[in-house]
Amino acid sequence: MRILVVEDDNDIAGFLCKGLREAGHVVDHAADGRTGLFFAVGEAFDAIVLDRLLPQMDGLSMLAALRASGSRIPVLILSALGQVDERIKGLRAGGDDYLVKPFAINELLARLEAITRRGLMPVLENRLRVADLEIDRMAHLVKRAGEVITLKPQEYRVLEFMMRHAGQVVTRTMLLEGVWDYHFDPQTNVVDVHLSRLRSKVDKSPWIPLIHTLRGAGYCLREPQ
Amino acid sequence: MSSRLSTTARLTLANAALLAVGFGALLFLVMWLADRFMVGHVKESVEAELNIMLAEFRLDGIDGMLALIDQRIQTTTPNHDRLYRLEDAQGKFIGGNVAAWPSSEFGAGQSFQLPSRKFPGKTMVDLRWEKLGDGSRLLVGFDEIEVAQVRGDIRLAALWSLGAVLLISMTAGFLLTRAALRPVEAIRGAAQKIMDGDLRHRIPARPNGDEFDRLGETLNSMLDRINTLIASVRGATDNIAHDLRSPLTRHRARLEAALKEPPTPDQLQAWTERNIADLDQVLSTFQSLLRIASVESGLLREEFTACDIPQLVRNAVEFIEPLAEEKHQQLDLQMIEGPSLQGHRDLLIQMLVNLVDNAVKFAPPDTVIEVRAFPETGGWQIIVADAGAGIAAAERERVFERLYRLDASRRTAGLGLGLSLVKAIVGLHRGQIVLADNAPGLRITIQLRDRDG
Repeated sequence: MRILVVEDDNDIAGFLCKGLREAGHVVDHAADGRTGLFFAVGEAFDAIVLDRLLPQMDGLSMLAALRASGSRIPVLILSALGQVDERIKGLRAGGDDYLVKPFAINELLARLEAITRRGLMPVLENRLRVADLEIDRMAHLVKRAGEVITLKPQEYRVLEFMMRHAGQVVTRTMLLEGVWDYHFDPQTNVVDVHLSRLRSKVDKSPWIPLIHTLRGAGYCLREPQ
Repeated sequence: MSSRLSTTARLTLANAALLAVGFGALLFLVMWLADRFMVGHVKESVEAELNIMLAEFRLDGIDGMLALIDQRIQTTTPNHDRLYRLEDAQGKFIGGNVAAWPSSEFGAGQSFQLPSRKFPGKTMVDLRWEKLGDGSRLLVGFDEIEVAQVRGDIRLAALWSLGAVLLISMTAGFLLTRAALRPVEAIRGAAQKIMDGDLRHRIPARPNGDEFDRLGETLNSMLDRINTLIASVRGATDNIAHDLRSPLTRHRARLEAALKEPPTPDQLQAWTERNIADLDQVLSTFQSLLRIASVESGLLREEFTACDIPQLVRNAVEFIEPLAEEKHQQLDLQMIEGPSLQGHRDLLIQMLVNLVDNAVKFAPPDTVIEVRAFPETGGWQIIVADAGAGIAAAERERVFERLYRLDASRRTAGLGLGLSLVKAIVGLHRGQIVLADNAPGLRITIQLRDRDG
């Protein structure tokens, strides 16, 4: 993907560009809001990583100007302002997701992937299928290799979220926000426990595991290679 | 010092001035009344004298009356000016001590006044005349010398007593005011001592129970409260310094060691992860402290929405349930539905998750954790009770301090900010949190108040 990074701090920008390039993306960098807007309007990017506090033109103004020009390019807002109301302001201004500094590069990659793939995901599709695991979203029915699996409501919601993001890295924070709508760090390993309970039902032997733990990043539900 | 004296002087002078004005008014009234009474009395005496003379005339004729007039003139003391004149119908002098009829303006039986000739400028003479049967007429006049004397006496007495009153009132006022203001000086002195660094000094208690004692008591309890706050801030600062310094020190030590002996390629992964974990802990502590500060600022009240409390509680309990199941604990949830509460949904959820998670964390396996939620007047009550080790009564206030951790909990994961945040969130909702003994365990009761409640 071709990604525009708008960030004025050189160290963070360098770290971002390096991380994104290593993940296989093509990266352009703008150090202030005006240049960023100029790039974003003039060239075709797949996504923008946008810092909120920028010289010349702040991130939210730049985003508003971009959206006013009719662009629907996915934007991930980065900010040191982590409060809930700041997050809501960012999303209202037209951001697709909001990530609080400091962040892990894996979290950023996972979220970037999620917002750029969002348009392609069959969100309204009734049946989701990965390998021999399928769910019927109308009937809340889960089957693996034809066998019906009984899940508790929360387990079902976690699985549904994982299936919608099949093949993508899903971080703990993304699960907290996407499944429970929690925007805080619960300071416990409760998400991991939820995942391990889900796995004990969906991935029990002799089935081939579909849900994988990615160290330092999160989880990924994908077809066996 | 000067302001205390000036207060005393001001009160004293004001008191004296008030007294002088009152005393002056009283004096004026007394003099006016005495004057009126005495002048009236002189007039009556003149009238009575005339009547006596007329009666004498009727009894003994003109000679008898003349004899009486002569006798009166002779017995008049030199201090008095008493006038008699008897004249016939043609105005010819018959007897008395007045050579000429003084004034022709006034008719018979009419009182009038003229300046005294014997004591010019000192007094007036009250006069009156009557016609006798044979056409002659008699004039009688008495001086008002006594009125002037009494008036002077009263004025003199008044001046002396006013002086005495002013002297007494100023002395007494000064002493009384100074005595009354002495506690103020005591309070000022105590405040000065505290400012000079003796934070334990208190305003001395007196047994009177008056306004100043109550003021002193209030100030003392305010000082106690400030002391507690200072101690708590100091404790929190120490804890913050400790909680931030330890991971940073570990981090620094590891980096320094790596300079001398770089980690081998197969150690590098674990080495880096440990460093990141330490930094994450520091960042997380900062994040939590900032969040508590922002909740305590109260600004988040602008984001209040109608919250369905039972739904939030159910949500939090379900979220934590897998952790309880791992420890074979039972989450016993009982609720009564009720009206929604104006509150901050995200923070309330965080609070509930925090409380239930804590209960699961600190309660032993195979126990029951009670969670209750029910509406009450003006808000909601939420109870989370476990059968764990509980918190000693002495520690129950301290666990709300930032980064304070019970010794027992230092071994378990957590930042020691959970209950501080819970308390801040409860405060944001104008509520109260009470920790009690659940015999055994801890029973947390939270009351949340609706915005209008």
